[in-house]
Amino acid sequence: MTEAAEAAVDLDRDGFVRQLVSQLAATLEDVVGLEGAAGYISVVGAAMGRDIDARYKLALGTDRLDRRQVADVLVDLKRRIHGDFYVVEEDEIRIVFGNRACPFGDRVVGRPSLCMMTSNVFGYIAAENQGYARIELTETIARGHAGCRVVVHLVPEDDPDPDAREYFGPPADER
Amino acid sequence: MSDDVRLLDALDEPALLLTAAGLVHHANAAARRFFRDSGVAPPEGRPLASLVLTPPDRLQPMLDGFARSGRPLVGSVEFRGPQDAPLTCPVRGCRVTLRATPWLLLRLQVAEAMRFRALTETTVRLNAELAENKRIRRRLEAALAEKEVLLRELNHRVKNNLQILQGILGLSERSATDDRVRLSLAAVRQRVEAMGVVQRLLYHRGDVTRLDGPEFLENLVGGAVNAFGRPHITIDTASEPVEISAQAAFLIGLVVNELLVNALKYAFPDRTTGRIAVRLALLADGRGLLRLQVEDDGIGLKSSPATGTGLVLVRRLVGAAGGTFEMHVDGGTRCTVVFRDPSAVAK
Repeated sequence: MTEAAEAAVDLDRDGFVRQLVSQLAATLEDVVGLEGAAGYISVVGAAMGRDIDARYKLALGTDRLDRRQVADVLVDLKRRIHGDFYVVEEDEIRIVFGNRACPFGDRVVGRPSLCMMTSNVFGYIAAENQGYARIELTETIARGHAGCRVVVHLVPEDDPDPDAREYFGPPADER
Repeated sequence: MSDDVRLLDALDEPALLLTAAGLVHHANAAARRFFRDSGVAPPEGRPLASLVLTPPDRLQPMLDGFARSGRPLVGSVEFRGPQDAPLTCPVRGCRVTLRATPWLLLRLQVAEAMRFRALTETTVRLNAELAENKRIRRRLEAALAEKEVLLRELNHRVKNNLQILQGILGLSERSATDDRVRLSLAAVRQRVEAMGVVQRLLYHRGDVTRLDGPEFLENLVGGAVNAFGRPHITIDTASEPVEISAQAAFLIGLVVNELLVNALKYAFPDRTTGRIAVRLALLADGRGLLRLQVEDDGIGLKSSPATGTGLVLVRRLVGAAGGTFEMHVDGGTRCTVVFRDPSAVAK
């Protein structure tokens, strides 16, 4: 083994990719601003959401996830990528999630644009299967909170919170 | 047209309202101008896919993504821009609801695209100019190198020709039977030899236009002493560290040769020993003013028959160079020449 190979360096593929994504978000925020960066990451998040939704449907053998399955899938996908989400409460109009650990680790601190990944993945999957989702990120580790609180509203409102993001799925007859 | 839709006309940027099927339901005023300037037919009622250059397999997924989002998402679409040039335009799209009907609102960031295109075109043009400048510079450098080679070759030939001429003169001098003829030929040969010193030094330096003052004087004076066989006459040279032009060196060479010949021939008629000093200085006027002095401790010029060709030649050469020539006799003779060499610089 070479000297470098034996050195105590905290570097592996997972950590490297997380840092890479964090740096990309930082660069975007610096160049195009937070809103702009959030916009670009949203595009990526939507694509990720589409891909993940398809994988779970295939694995679960279903064309549509009911509300309970949506909650399970969102918790499970985060667990698989080293997040620690859990359901705080659930009913016909909303699902509230808590989170104790971000998949991006400590690299998410100060990078709120990365939260658009969660917003878009959750929003896509919920809307695709329930017709509509409005995602509110009321607390986030990125903004310095101890944990995250994510509310997935399943019913539109006339006057929604301006910081919330709406997602629309196919009409009921197409689901 | 409903009031809701008219609101879009308040936007500066082109905006399109699309149906779920991708038809353009409404184009705001900016969008109508944009398509008109691009030579595209009015967009209303037509599929967006027919108005753009982006292929459908890229356009439709992007529109689908926009239709699912309540917040604008970014994308890009290739349009037929002004002057029929393709224009890749950033766009923002999202779902909007008007009178309970979902639509897709597409905003075109044309100003950003045009700015970027202008920047790109400027960059391309500057790169082309830079490349052309580099080509010109390479050609100039090649021409300069060729010129330097030619100059060295020319210098070499002149040096050789002067050596041949010296040889011819020496031969003629040795075969002359008349003393006056021999002395005349000797004087001419020495002048040619003085010019030969300059040419030889120029050839051996890398720079064919300038000489080192101290080195030049040393070489010049050495030849004169040997020519006259006066081994006990000491000739001291003193030059400030200065570089002079080749033209100045030719003048100094001929003048020093004449003044040294005069001194060696006439200053010490009754002595075998004596001193001659040759000095070169760069005066402090900042514009290349040189002072050349040849001074001996002999009998002084007044008492010698030194009014011949040599001094006439010196005065003419110095006058032609725009300089001055003075003689001062005081227990010896001091000749001072002052002239300007714009290229002279202190080392």
